[in-house]
Amino acid sequence: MSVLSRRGWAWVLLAGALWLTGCQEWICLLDQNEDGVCEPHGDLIDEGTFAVSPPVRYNAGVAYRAEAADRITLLRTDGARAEVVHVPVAEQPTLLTTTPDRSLLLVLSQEAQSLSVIDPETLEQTIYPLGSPFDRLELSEDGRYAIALYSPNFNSSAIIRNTNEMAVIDLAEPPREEDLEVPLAANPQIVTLRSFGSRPLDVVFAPSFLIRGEERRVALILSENYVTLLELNGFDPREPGRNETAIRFVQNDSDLRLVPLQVTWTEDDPNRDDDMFAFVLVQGSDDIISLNLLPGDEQDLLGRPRIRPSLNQLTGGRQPRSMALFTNSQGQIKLLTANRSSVDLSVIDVATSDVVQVPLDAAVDQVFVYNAVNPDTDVEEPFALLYSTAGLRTVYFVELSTVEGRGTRAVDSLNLDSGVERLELTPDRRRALILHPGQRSFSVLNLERRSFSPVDALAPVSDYQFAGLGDERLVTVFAGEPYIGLTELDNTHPTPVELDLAAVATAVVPETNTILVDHGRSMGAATLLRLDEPSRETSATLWGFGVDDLLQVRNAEAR
Amino acid sequence: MTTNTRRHIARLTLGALTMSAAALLGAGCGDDASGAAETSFGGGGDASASNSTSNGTSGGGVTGGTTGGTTGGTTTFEPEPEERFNFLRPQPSRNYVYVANTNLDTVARIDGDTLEITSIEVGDEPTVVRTSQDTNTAVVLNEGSSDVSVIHSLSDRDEVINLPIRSGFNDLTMAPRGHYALAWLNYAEITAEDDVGRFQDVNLLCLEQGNEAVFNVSVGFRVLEVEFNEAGDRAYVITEDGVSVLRLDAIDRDADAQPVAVTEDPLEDALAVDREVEITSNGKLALVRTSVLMGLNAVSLGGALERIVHVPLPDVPTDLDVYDGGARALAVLKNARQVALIELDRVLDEPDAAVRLIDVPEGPLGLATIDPRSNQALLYSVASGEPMVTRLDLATGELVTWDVRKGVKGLQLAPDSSRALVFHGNDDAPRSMSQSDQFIAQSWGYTLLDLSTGFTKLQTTDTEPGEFVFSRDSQWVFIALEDEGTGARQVERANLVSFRIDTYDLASPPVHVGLLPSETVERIYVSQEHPVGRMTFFEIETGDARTVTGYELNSRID
Repeated sequence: MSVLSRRGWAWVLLAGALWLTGCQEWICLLDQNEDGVCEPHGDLIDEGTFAVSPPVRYNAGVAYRAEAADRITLLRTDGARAEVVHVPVAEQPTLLTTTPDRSLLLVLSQEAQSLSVIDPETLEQTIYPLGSPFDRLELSEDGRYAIALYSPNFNSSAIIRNTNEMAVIDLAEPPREEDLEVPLAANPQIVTLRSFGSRPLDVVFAPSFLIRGEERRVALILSENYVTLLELNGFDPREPGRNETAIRFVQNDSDLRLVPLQVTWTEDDPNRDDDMFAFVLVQGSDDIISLNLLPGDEQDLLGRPRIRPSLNQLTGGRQPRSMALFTNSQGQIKLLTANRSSVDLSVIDVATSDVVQVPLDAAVDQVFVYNAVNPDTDVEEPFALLYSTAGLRTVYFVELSTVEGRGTRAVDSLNLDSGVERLELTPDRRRALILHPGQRSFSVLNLERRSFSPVDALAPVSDYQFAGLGDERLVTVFAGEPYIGLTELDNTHPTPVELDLAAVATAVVPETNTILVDHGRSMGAATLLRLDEPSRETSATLWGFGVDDLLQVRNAEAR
Repeated sequence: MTTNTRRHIARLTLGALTMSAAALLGAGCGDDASGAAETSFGGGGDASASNSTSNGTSGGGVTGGTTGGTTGGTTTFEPEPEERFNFLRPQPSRNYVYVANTNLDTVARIDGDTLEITSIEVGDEPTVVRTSQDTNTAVVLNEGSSDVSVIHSLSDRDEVINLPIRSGFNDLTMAPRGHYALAWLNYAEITAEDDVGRFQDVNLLCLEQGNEAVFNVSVGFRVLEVEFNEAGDRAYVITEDGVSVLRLDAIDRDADAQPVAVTEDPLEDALAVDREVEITSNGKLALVRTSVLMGLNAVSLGGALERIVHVPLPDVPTDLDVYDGGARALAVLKNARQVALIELDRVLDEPDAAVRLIDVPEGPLGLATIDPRSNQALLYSVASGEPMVTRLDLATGELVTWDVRKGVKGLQLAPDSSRALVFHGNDDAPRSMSQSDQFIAQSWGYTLLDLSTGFTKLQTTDTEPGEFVFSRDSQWVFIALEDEGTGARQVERANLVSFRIDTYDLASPPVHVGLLPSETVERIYVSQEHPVGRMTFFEIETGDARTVTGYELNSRID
C-alpha cells in the first residue's frame, strides 16, 4: 500500500463512505439477516468490525488482532516503510501473542476453540483444536510448549465449562488425535486437573532439565493451597491423570487460604538427577515451599522414572513478598526473600534450610539478583537489589558474597528522588529503569556505580521499550502526547521526537531498524520511524491499515 | 519441654541402673547379646549412638554417683560412669527409616533411596519406634492409647496392625530378625506423668505377618534391661531379682518367667550395688559385676541346672564386657591395676583357671573398649579425668598410652577398629594458665584417634557432642551438636583418613543421626526438632545436603 498524507486519507475515507451510502445492495450484502432481508444499519461502517487491538511485536514487524474481522493484520516493517498483510484466522480471535523468540504468531480463538500458529514469513498456519473456549495462553520460555486455560475473569457465553480443564500443546509437533493402540497421546492433550478446592490461577513452566540423561519438561500449575506438577510429554492416553502430581501445602482441616504468587527455578546440572528445585512463594504464609524434583520408583509410558517431588518448608522472615536465587562461591544455592513484616532480608540455605536474617531500615517487597563488578575486589560477583513499591524512596544493594558473614555491613543504600512504582533491568543488565509513582518521571539506575539519573516528563509514560541489546537507548511514549522520547542510557540524555498524532504504545523492531508508534485508533494508525535516525521528517504514518482492503474484499463478495 | 528432653533429664537423675553393656555400648563391641539397638560396631551396619548421658546415668556399665565408696574387701571402689550409646529413634529397617511424630499420631516412613516420605497413621502419641534391619517391619509404641502398631511395609502399601498392650509401658526392644519384640517399663525413661505401677510385667509381641499377637509375661521385680540372644528366640529380662529367661517360640499364652538369681544374697539391692549383668550372645551364661563383689558371678541360664559360680578376682571390677562371640569376657580391675580375661567356656567348671590377669602398671584404667579383631582393648578412665587412652594388646600385654589432651568422657571404635572417637567434657583442669589451655579445658570436644599410629586430632566444640554415626567403610563420622543456650545447631563431618572436619549449620536443633539404608548413595539422616518434622540428609562422600520439612505434607504428595 502506498503511503498517503493525512489529508489524502481523509479524502479516501470520505469517498468510500459516500459510495457505500449510495449502494443499498452493497450494504445489504453486509447486513443481511438469516432470512435474506436487509437490515440497514444507522451507521455506515461499524468501527468495531475492523477494530484492531494494540500491537504485538514479532521479529520482522508488528501484528494486530481484529477480532470482529476474524483476522490479524501484519505490518512488515523496514525502517519507515511497511507492508500490510491481512491473515484470516479462526472466528473471533481472542488473543494474539508470539513465541518468546518472536518468530511465530499465536492466535487463540475462544469461539473456534482453537489455537493457530502462524509463520509471519510464509503465512503458513497450523491449527490446534482445543475443544474448549479457553481464553488464556501461557508459553514455555523456549516456545516449545503452550498451555491454554481459563483466566480467572473468564467471560464467555459457554453454558457449561470445567475450570480445571486445560490444553497442553506441543508446538514442535503437528496436531494429532489420540491413538490408544500405539499408544500415542493427542496433541493438544486435554487435561483435567484434580481439584482440591481451587482452580488453576497461573502456570509457570520449568526450564528443561535432565533426569538420568533424559530431558524432562514440566509446568507448575498454581492453585489456592496447592500446586500441581504437570509433565508436558509422555502422556499415556490409557491412564489420564498419571502425568500430574498434586502438592498440597496445608493440612486437610486447615482454614488457611494460601495463594502461590511467585515461582523460581534452579538451573539444572546435567550430571545430577537431584538438583532441580522449584521455590514457591505463597501469600498468607511465612514459608517458602521448596520442591525438589527427584526420580521416583514408578515409571511413565516412556519408561522414564516418574518425577517425585520432595517438599521442604523454608522459613525466613515474616510475610515474604519476593524472592530470588543465587549461588555462592562455594557452589551452595541460596534463596533470598524480601520480608515485609519482619523488615529484613533472609538468606536461606536451600540444602539445610539454615537462615541468616539481615535487618533493614525499612520494609522492602522486591528483590532481584544481578552480577556486577565489585569495586573493592574488581571481580564480578552477585549482588541483590532491594526496593519497595509502596512508596519507599530508598533502594538497597546487597553484596551477596559477604552478606551471610557481615550482615548489615554488606548492605548499601541509595535514596532516590521519589518512590518506585516499577523497575526493570535493561537488556545488558547493568542498569535498571525505574518508573516513579504517577509515571511523570523515570530514572536510570546504574547498578555498578550505585547512582541514578532522573528524567522528568510533562506527561505520564504510558509505554516504553528498550531499543535492544547493544543499543543503549530507551524509547518512551507519553499518554496523549504526539511525541516519543529517546533517552541515551549511558548519559541519560533525552531527545524528544515529534509525531503527527498522539502516541499510545510503541514497539521497537531492531531486526528491521524500526520504531513503531501506535496511535490507538480502532481502524489502525501507526507511525514508523527509523531506529538509527528517528525523526519526524523521515517518518511515515499509516492510517486505516485495518481497513485498507475493505473495497477489494467487498467487491469480491458482491460478485 | 519435649518428651526427649524429659527423658534425657530422667536418665541423668535416676541414678544407678544396671544395663547390659555389650549390645548398647561402645565399651562392649562385637557380638554380645543384642539388646535394644544394633550391635555391629565392628562389622559395618549402623554404628550410630548417642553420647548424651553423663554421671549418674545408666550405661552399659557401672553407674556412678550413688555408690561411691562402697567397698568389697579392703579396696575402695570408685565407680566409672560409662556413657550409654543409645540407638534412639528414628530407626532404620532394611530399606526405610521410621520416625514417630507424636503430635500427629503418625509415623513417617522415609525411603532410603528416593527420600520419599509416607505418613502412616498409628495410635495415640507414638513415642518409640523399633525396627529390624532384616525386614521392613516396624513396631511403634503408642503411649496415649496403650497399644502398639505393627507396620509391615510391603512393596505397594503399609499394613498396620494395632495390638493392645498393658498400660504404662514406655519402651520397646526388638529381637534380632524381627520376629518378636518386648514392651516394658524402662525406669530410666520415666517421667512424672508415667504410670509406674506395673513392676513385673512385660508384653511379648509376636510380629509374624498375619499372626501378630500379644502375651503378658510376669517377670522379676522392676525391669532394668531387656536383651535377646543372637538367634532372636530367647529374651533375657534383667530385673532386680535376677534374669527372667523367655523362650519366645514356646509362649503362646500369658505366662510367667521366674527370674534366675544372679547373686547368692537374695536381699542384695541391685541398684545400690551398681549391678551390671552381661548376657552372652548364645544366651547360656550371664556375668554379673557389682560394687561389692571381689570378682564376678557367672550364672548359667537355660540349662537343666541353673547355678551361680563365683569367679574370684583381686579387685572389684569397674567394667565388664563380653566379646569374641561370647567366648571371652574382660573385667577391669582398677585398683589392682590389672585387666582380667575370662574364658567363658571354662568359667562355670574351672572358675580360677578360666582367668588370666594382665598387669597394667600405668596409664588410665577404669573402663575398656575391646576390639576383637586385633585382640586389643582401649583402656581409659572417666572418673580420674586423665587425658589419656591406653591400648593393651590382650595377647602380649603390651601397652601404649596416648595423650588426648582432655579428660575422657567416652570412647567409641569405628566399625573397622582403625580409628576411635574420644569424647571430652568441659570441666577439665587446665594444663597451664595460658589462654589457649584454659580455653581447651573449658570447651567440649572430641578427639579423632588413629589407633595404628596414635596420631590424635582434638576438635573443640561450643556444645556437648551429641549423637554420632560412622559410615559403613569407617571413612567418615558425623557428629551432631546442639545447644539451646548458644543456639548451636550443627553437624560436623570428619574424615577419618585425613582427619579433616567440616561443619554444617542446620535450621533446627538436631535430635538424632543415623545411617540411611540405601543401595545407591550412602547417606546419613539428621532428624531435627520441628513442629511438622524436619530431616536433613547428607551424602557421606560429598557432604551435599537435602532437607525435607513437613512429613505429613510430603506424605500427601500425590
